[in-house]
Amino acid sequence: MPDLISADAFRSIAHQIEAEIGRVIVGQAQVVRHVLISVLAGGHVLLEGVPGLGKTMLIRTLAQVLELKFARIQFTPDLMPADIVGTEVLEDLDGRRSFRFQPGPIFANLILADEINRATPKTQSALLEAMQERSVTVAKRTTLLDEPFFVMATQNPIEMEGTYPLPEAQLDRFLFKVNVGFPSPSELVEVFARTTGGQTPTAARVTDGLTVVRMGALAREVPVPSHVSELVARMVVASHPTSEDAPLLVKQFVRYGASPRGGQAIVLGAKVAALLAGRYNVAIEDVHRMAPAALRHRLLLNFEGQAEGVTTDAVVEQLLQTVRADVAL
Amino acid sequence: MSESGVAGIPITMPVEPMRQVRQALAQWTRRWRFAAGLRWALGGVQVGLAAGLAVGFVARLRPLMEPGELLARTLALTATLGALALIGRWSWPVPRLRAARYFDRHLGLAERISAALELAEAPASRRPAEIIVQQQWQDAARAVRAVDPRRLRLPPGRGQLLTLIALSLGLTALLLLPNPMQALLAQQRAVESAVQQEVARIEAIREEIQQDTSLTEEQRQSLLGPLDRALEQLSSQDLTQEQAVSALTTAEQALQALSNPDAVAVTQALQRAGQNLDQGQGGPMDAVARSLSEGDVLQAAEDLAALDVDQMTPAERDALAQQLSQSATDVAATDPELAQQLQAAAEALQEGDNEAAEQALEKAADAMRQAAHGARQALAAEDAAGQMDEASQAVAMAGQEGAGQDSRSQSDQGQAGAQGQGNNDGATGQNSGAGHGDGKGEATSGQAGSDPIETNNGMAESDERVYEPIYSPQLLGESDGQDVSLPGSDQAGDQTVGTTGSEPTSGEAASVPYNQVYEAYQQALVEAMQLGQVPIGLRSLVRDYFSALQPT
Repeated sequence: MPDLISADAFRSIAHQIEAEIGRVIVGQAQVVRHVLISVLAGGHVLLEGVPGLGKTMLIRTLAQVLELKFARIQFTPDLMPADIVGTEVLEDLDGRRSFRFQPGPIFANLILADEINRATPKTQSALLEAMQERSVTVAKRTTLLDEPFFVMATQNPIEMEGTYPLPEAQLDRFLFKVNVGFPSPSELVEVFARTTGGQTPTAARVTDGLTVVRMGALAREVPVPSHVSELVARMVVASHPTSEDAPLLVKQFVRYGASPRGGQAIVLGAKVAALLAGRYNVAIEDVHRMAPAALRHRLLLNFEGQAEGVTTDAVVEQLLQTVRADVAL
Repeated sequence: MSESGVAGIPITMPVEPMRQVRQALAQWTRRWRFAAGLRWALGGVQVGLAAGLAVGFVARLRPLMEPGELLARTLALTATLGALALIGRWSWPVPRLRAARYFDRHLGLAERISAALELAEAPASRRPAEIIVQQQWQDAARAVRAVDPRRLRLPPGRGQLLTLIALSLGLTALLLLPNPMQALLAQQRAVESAVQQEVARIEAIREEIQQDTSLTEEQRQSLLGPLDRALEQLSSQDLTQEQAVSALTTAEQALQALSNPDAVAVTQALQRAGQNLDQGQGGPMDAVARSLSEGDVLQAAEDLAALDVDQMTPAERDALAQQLSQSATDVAATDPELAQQLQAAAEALQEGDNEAAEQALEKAADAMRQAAHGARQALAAEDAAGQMDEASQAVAMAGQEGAGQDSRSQSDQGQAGAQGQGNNDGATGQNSGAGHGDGKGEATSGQAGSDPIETNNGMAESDERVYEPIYSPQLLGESDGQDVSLPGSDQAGDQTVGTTGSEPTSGEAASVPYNQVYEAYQQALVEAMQLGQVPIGLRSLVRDYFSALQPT
């Protein structure tokens, strides 16, 4: 267990990270916050948004600020698993031929899996072991990845032709799914000013990977009141249409609800959010704040839901409204 | 305070922040209990008012209770429920952790207190790092200090106050607006009161009959039977006025059936016989005559049985035979059996057969005893029947009085013309009745029979009955009828009691003696009473009428 960082240092560093990212990324404060929470919670993030919104820039900037080893993988239909995890290459050394493992881009601290839904499921699944076990197995040899290890994937929600939607098992491994919205006119003006001038803003390094790990360890120490834990558990259970407490939208339009990883994602995210808010315990507000990003990609809509245009965000919103914490006297 | 931490490292719990948090929590809990108690008390008041309102509505659909009673009961219920709710909520246990969760939410403390309490109570193996524990408690104490206790007022909700106001207004309206059921309620109460009085009256009659030693046990039971049945019926729940009157009327009819007019006639005949014997001045039957004259037939029977013929002189036996023969003649019409025994005794005496005479006298005494008992039963039955009749009238009239009084209280219209019983002579006269108007009513002529039955059929305020036309004495021959003088008992001063236009005797006076036809008329009256042909309200009047005509 790494040495714990103080809570004040935690907040200070986190705010500095946000400030440095803000020097490059205009607006998108919630996106930046969720990505940062995910990093501090040790989770992976799936960023979804139309092209040109700064998703890649955000992750690249984050890598600069955290001084992490960064690797970008552009997912295409012809991308092979070995292109991600690496492969054995035949090497001739002093007349002796042997296989040497050539690590792929996955061997970095921060992986940007750009347009992840454009690769085939076989290639997508190459990320599975790395994301869950934080290790890579090639030719029966397992190699541990360096800490910290984060996968930041992006996908385009509108160009669905020629794409391969991520399987549920892989989606479930992303701590958060963050929707990147379109910036406001004022933000766009600022974007124009920063990107069309003579100087391109850059972010300075704030901390390093080890500190990030220590910050994550502190976040895991934040206590969660029992009734807040129960609230999260009841939300996860209520997200299943077979549950008695399931709200109407769930019963009508959800095929399968959130997995236990959904609850874990909420709690982990809420712990980081609590520290960022200057508290030392998780509050119900933290749960409500984290629930959409943690659950939206874990709810499977049925055919009626998809036909009706129901969004998982709407389902999560109803879950938050109907499942309440027991605080009555 | 030091405990084991995550990795066995001792954790020092922050004492002062813990004290501050727990103290504040206890203080808030007390304030909350008081405020919640008040809210519950208001809830109890609401329930009480709602119950009063519901009862008030029901009281407008059926006779239930008067406005004052409704108000008193509603206030009592409201106060009771309010007090119970206040005490109950105040004394209801409030777990500290639940209180912490509640105040975390309602004071915007973001679960700080509940998290701190759980940290203190959690097993060491599940506690986080000391740095977090220390800072969490410090943070909770800081947040507690920043709380303004005035935010814990917990005033009643707007909806609760509005509901309270609405219920109060509704109840006030129900209490102030005239209730159409009041008349029925007053009538019901009057009937219940009258029934209670009549129950007491019946019990008094019952007691009197039980104490009457002149009745045989069989007679006593036969008299008590109708009374007991009436008492049982009158004691039943949800007794209506009709049922009460019916029970009393049934009892009256049953008792009337037991009142044998013949038995009374026998005693009257025996009394007359005793008077006749008394006029003879002396003789062996002096004691018997005296007892008969005084109406003590039982004693007379004993005196008769006590006559010792063997001790008498022949002259006394002759005198006794004559007196017995005379008495036999006097009672022959009403009690042939007694007359036969008396006559047999007289004949045995005349024939000198003392033993046969004494046997005949004994049988005559027995017959006399039976007549006495029969007469006593008849009188007791007649008296009880009369009281049952009065009781049924009282119950029937009690309802009418109640309704009349209530209708008067709710109406401001004068009813002088209907309330008064005018001394109407049949012409268009002035209203000289006792009626009075208490409002803007217009006094009208007191013509008897000129008003509709409905308006003249109730009780006037003076409790004088207003005759209905159909029961008013009418001239049999309309206005052309002639007065007919009935000779009656042929005594001077007979008055005209009827008018006929049929002239059955072509101007001659009626030749049937009045005292001879009276019993037949009285028997007809009894039958009419038993058959229910005489209205309850007029039975007393008719009976009084016949009592007044009874020949002396």
